[in-house]
Amino acid sequence: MLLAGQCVAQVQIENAWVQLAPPAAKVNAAYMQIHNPRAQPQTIVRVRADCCAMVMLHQTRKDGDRVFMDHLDQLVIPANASVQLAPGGLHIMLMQANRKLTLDSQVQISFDFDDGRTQDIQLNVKNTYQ
Amino acid sequence: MLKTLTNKKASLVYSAAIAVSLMLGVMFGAQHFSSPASFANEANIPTPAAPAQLVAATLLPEAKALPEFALENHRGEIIGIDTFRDHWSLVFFGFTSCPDYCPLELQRLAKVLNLMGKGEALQVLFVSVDPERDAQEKLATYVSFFHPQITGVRGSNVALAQFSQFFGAAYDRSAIVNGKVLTIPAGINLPVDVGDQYQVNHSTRVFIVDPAGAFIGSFAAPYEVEQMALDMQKLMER
Repeated sequence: MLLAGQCVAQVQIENAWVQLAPPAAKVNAAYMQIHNPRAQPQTIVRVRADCCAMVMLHQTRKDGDRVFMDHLDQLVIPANASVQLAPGGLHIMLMQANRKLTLDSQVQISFDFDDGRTQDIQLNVKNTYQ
Repeated sequence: MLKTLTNKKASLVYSAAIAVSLMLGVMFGAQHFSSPASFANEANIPTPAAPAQLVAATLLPEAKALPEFALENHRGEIIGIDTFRDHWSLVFFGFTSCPDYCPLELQRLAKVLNLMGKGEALQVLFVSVDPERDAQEKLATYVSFFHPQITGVRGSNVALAQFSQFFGAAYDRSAIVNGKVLTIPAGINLPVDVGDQYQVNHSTRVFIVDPAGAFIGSFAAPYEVEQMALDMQKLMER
């Protein structure tokens, strides 16, 4: 289900989910583990989602007592390694949604790689806050 | 052992208080001594086997009384210093358009409230430092999702900046306008051309206010939910 790519999967995705935003919050975050089984690094240069007009890769960064969100232009998955997108760290920020995301929603996220390939991922929406 | 330690600590606190009093003058000094020092109740520690040492909380050398302020709660009521009276409070600064950090933190604070199970004895204030996007109704829906004892707080940019500055909870907002990063400092209204896609860089500390309305310490992230609950219990039993 998670590997329903249009072409041969470039990266392996595990535990992919969209966090149900608290009511009134208009942004959602998506998390997953991305594994690169290849002997070369792979670079995601763009992230798209069918639910949202604006999608960004963000890194939550704590600096002293303050928290910042750094925008990443690209995400490199090192060779034979995994990158963890998890609460409090790296996440995909879903903004300007064209529909309200609920626990019944399905979201398709697409990764565009620097070699021109695209990989689609289907995600369910979960609520881990309650 | 514990007694010796706390005495040492207490004497340090008092030395500091004396030094400050000397600098600020006798009048102000008298005020410091009359304010409830955090170690004043050490004689009341129930048994030596139950040390009142705090694990996650960091206490200020001396309590700092909150100045008067005017903000608005998520029910649309104007609130001031009285909102802190007669119960303990945990204060956290954030914003509702925060997809990652703030909901996680509010979830942790909701767990602390559940662990405490003391009804109205402890409240959590979630102060939005993003008043342009966090209207009252929005804030109400947002905080109620996490816990009924979480109060949403908003206000003018000026009032929010003063309130957060008192706690040392620095924040600012940053947007990309015409390809350049524009930083909007605390206290400044958001320029119209910024739109509604921007970042809020905010404090991660959870501040403790006692029932007398004094800021007494804080929890620095990351902390364990259980430890925060235990520390609050110790503080509330003093």
